[in-house]
Amino acid sequence: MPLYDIAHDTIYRYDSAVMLSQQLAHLRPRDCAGQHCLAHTLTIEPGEERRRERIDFFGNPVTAFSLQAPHDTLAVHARSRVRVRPSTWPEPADSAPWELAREHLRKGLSGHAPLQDDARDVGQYRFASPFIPLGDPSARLGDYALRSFRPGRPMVEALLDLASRIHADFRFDPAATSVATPVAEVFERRCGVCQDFSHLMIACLRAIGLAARYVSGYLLTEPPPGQPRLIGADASHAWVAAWCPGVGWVDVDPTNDMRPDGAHVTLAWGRDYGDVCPLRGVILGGGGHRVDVAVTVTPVGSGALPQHAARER
Amino acid sequence: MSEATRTGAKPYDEMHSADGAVRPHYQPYERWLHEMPRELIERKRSEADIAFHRVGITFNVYGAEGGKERLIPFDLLPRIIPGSEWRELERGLAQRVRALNAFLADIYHGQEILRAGRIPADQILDNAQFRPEMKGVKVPGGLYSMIAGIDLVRAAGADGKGEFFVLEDNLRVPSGVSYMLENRKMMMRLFPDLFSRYHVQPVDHYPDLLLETLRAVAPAGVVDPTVVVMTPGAHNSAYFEHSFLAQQMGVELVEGQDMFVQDDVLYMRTTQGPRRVDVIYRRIDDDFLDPLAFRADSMLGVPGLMRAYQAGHVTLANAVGTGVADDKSIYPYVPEMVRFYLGEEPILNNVPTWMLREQDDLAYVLDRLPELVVKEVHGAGGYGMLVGPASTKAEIEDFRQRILAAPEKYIAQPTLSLSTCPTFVEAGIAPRHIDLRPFVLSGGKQIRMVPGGLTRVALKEGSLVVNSSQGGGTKDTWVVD
Amino acid sequence: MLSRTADHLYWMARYTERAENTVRMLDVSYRMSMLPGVNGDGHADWRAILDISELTDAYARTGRPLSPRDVIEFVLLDRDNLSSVWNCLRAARENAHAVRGKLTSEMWETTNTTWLEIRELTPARLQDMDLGAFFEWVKFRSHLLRGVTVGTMFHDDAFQFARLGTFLERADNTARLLDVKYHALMPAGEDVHNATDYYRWGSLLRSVSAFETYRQVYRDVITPHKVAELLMLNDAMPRSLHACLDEIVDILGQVANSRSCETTRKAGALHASLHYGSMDDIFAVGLHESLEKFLACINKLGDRISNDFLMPVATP
Repeated sequence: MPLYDIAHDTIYRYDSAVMLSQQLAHLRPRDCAGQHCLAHTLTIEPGEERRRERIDFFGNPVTAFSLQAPHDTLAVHARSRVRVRPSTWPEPADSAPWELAREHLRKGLSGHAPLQDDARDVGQYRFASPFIPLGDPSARLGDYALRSFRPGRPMVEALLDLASRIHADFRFDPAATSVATPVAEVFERRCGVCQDFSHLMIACLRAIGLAARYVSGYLLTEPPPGQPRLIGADASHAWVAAWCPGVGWVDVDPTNDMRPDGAHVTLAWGRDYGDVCPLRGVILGGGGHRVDVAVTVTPVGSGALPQHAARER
Repeated sequence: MSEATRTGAKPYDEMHSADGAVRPHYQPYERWLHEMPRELIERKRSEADIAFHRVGITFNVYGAEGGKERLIPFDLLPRIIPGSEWRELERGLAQRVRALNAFLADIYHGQEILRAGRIPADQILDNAQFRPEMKGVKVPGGLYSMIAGIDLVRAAGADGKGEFFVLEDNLRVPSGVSYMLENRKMMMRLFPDLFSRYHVQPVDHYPDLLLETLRAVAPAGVVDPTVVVMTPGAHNSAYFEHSFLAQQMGVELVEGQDMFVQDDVLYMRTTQGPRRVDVIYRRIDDDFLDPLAFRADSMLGVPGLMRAYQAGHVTLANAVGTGVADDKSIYPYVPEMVRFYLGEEPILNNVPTWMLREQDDLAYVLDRLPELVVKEVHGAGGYGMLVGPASTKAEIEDFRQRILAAPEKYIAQPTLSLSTCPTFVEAGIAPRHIDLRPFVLSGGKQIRMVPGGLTRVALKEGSLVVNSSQGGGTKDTWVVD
Repeated sequence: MLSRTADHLYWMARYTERAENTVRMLDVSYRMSMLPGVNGDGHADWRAILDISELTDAYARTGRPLSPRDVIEFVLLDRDNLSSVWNCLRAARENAHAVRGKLTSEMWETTNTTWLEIRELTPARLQDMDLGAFFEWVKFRSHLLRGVTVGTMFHDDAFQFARLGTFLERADNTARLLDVKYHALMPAGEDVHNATDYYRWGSLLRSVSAFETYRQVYRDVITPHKVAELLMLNDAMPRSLHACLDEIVDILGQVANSRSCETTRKAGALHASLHYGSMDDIFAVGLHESLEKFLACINKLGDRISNDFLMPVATP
C-alpha cells in the first residue's frame, strides 16, 4: 500500500502590513475508505495566536487560526503522512444503468415516500451550490452530459466517458481562468484548470439528476525516467466523485482522464470548491498580495508505485 | 377549495356588515366620528402629518445620499379587532410558530419529517436558504425564529363571515414593528378622548417583551446576558427601526465592524475595552453575517461569528437558516408541520395553494390561469409573478410557457379579495384593502405577542398591494374588549 | 460605550470645530483685504490661508488664480477640497447621522439643519451674499451645536468624547493660525509700529475672539510677543493652547481605560509644558519650532486616542 509524505506550502506576501488575519484551513487529509492520515502538522509563520481544530459539516477536518500581530508575510506549511489503498474499482461495464441512480435520487428526494438515510446524505450533493448554480446553462450542460449518458448505459462507463470527453474537449490553461470564473464561462471558452473541469463535470451530472461532489486533494506526479522529482512544482488538485447505487461514491479525475487509483490523496470533499478551499481568510490591511503555493508528494520507502501516471495536473 | 377564497367574492368589510350596519366593535368609534366636526378631523390629519414629518426628520434618512427612505403614510382611522377574535388568532399564531420552530429544529437535526415522507427532501436540499452549516448545531431552547412576523389576510365567506388566512410567514428579519408602536403613540396624542371610549389593549410594552425574549435565549449559564441589536448600517432602509428598538430596549446598536471573535467568543469594541456579547438581535441577512462562513465579500459581518455561534458562545436571533421555513415552496407544508410536530389540527388556515410540481395541480392550474395568482417559489418582491385577472392574454400565454418549462418552480393560489377597512382618502372616507402582521415572540417556554400588530393598507382604490414601496400606508391596530 | 459611537461623536465635534476655525481665519483675511493700503504682496494673506490648512498644492492643481474670490470659494465650498467648510459640515452631519440614536433630538436637528442649509449653496449664490454675515452664520451654527450638546446631552462618556474632539481640533487650529500668521505678519521680528500692522494684529486677535481680552489682560499696545503669549499660555483664554490642554487632560482622566495610561501621560506632559512654560523659553527655542513640535504632539495624541478608544484595531 502506498505511503506518501505530503508537503503543502502556501506563502502570502502582502504589499503592506496585515494587522489582523483570520483563516480557515482545509489542509489535514481526512480519513476515509482507502485512506488513513498517519501524521499531520500545520506550521504557521509568523506564529499564530489562536488555533482551533474541528470537523466541518461534510466531515472534513478544519483548522481555524488567527494572527493578531502585524505581518507582511503569511506562510502556512502543512506536512502529512498518508497511507492510501488503491481502490477496488467496479468493472465499468458491470455497473447498473445510470438511470437507476437518477430514479433512486428522484424517488428518494422528491417523492412522498419516506426518505432513506443514504439518499438524505447523498442528496446534499444533488442540487445547485454556491459555485455551481444550475441556472440557464443547465440545459446545455445536460445535453453535453447526455451524449455520454446514453439510455441504459452502465453508470461507471458513462462517467468515465464523460471525463474523457471533457479531457478531450477542454484545454488545460492556468492563465485562462480564476477562482471566480463561472462554470458557464468555462463551458463557453473550453479551457480552464482542474477546479474548473471538476465544477463543470459536477454541473453536468447534477443537471441530469445525479449526485456529484467536489474532491480536493493531491496527485503524485511521476517524474520522467532519469530525471529527479520536481520539488515544489506541484499544486493542489481537484476531481469529482459521483454517486452510484450499490457501489457508493466513485471518484473520477476529468483533468487527467483517469480513475484515481492509489496516486490521488484526498484532502476534503464538499458541494464545490467553496466548501473545501485549502485556505480561506479575512484580513485587515495588506493592500495587494501575491500568493505562492508549492505541493510535494513523495512516496515513502519502497511502497508500490501506482500504475497510472498522471499526465497533467 | 372553500367558498371564502372564491374569486370575485365581495370583500369583507371590517367596519360594516353585509347589510350596511356598523359592526358592534366599531359603533363607539362611529358615534365619535359623527360628533367630530369635519374641520377638526382635517386639522388632526395635518397635525399627524407634521408630527410624523418631524419624527421623520428626527429618525429617517432625510436627504441623505445613500438612503431613500420615505415616510410611510399613516391613516387616522384605526383597524379594530374584537378581543374574542384576537384570542383565537393568538392561539393560531402561537401554534403555527411553535410548529415552524419545531420544523427548523428537525430539519437541522434528525430530519424526521423527511424520513416520514411528509415533505419531499428536495424541497429542503434544493433550497438556497437551507444552511448545511447549521446541521447539528444546538441552539438555546431549540428556538430558531424568536421573532416572527406572520402576514394575515381576511377574505369573505359566503355567509358574510370573514376568515383569516396566513399569506406568508416571515421568519428571518421581519420588520415594521416600529410603525406599530409609533402609530399608537400618534393616535393617543391626537385623540386622547377616543381612548376613554374604548378599552384598547396596550402595545407599548413590546420592547420589554422583546428584550425578555432575547435574554431568555442567551447561551446556557450566562446570568446577565449582554444583548445587542446588529444593523447593516445607517443606509439600510430599516435603520430607523434598528436604532429605535435598540434605544427602546436600552442596548447597543452595533455594526459588524464593532465586533470581533477571539477563541470562539464574540466581543464588541467599547471605549472601556472589549466587552463580551451574548445575544445578537441581528437585522442582517445570513449571507452577510460572517465572511469566513458565507459571502466572502461581506463587509457587514464579523469574521468567525459563525464559529462562535456553532460553539454555542453567542445566540443569534433569529437563528441562521430560518429562511428554509418561510420560503414559498415550504409554505404549503406548514399545516402538515402542525399535524406532524404538535399532533393538532391547524387553527389558522393557509391560502389554498397548488404546487405545480404535482401533475394534478399543474393540470388544474393551467386550465384556470386567468383566475389565479402564480408565484415563483424562490422569487421575492413580486418578481416572477402572474396575477391572472390583471394580465393580458399574451402575458398569460407567455407565463404558461414558463410554467411548462419548469413547473416545479411555481405555486398557484386563488386571487384573494382582502378585507377592507374605511380609510381617509382625498374624497373623504372610503374602503381600502388591508392586511395584518402580528409579531410573535418565542423565548424560553413562552410564546408571546402584543395584541394586534401592524395593519398595512393599500391606499390606491381597488389595489391589493399593501407594500409601502407601492403606495401602501399603515393604521393603528386596536384589540378591544 | 461602543468605540464606533465615540469615534463618530468625536469626529462630529472635530469637523464642526474645523469649519468654525476655517471661517474665523477667512474672516480675518477678508477684513484685512478690505483695509486701505495693504502693503506689499496682496496675495500673501491668501497664500497664508492655504498654508495653514496645508492646501497650497491642492489649490495649485485647480489652476485657479490666487484671487480672494477664488480662494474663498475654494476654502468654503469646493466639493473636491475635503477640508472645505462645505465638506466639514457634511462630514459632521454624516457622523451625527451614524449615531443618531445617541444624540438628543436638538443635537441632531442642529447638525442636520446646518447641513441642509449649506448643502445647496453654490459659488454663484455665494457672490450675492454678505460674506461677513455668512461667516457669522457658520460660527453661530458651531456655537449652537456646542451649546446644545452641553445643554441637552447626558454628561457621560459619549459627551466627553464629543468634547475631546472639539478641544483637540481647536488646539491644532490655534497653533496653525499662530504659526503661519506670526511669520507672515512679522518678517523682521520687530514690534508693531504703523497703523496697518496694528490692524493686522488686531484682526488676528479678533479671529480668535481675543481682541477685547487682550486689552483687558495687558492694557498695552499690541506686541507680537504678547499675542503669542495670550494664544499659547493663558489658560483663561478659551481658544489658547493651554486652555485646550486643560480640557483634554481633564477628559482623558474621566474616560481612562486599561490601555490609555501612556496617552494620559503624554497629554499631561504636553499640558505641563504650557502650564509651566514661559515665552522666553519658547522664543529661545524659536516660536515656529515650538509650535511645530506642539502640532506634532497634538497629532500623535490624536492617533493615540484613536488607538486607545475609538478604533482599536487589534484585539487586546
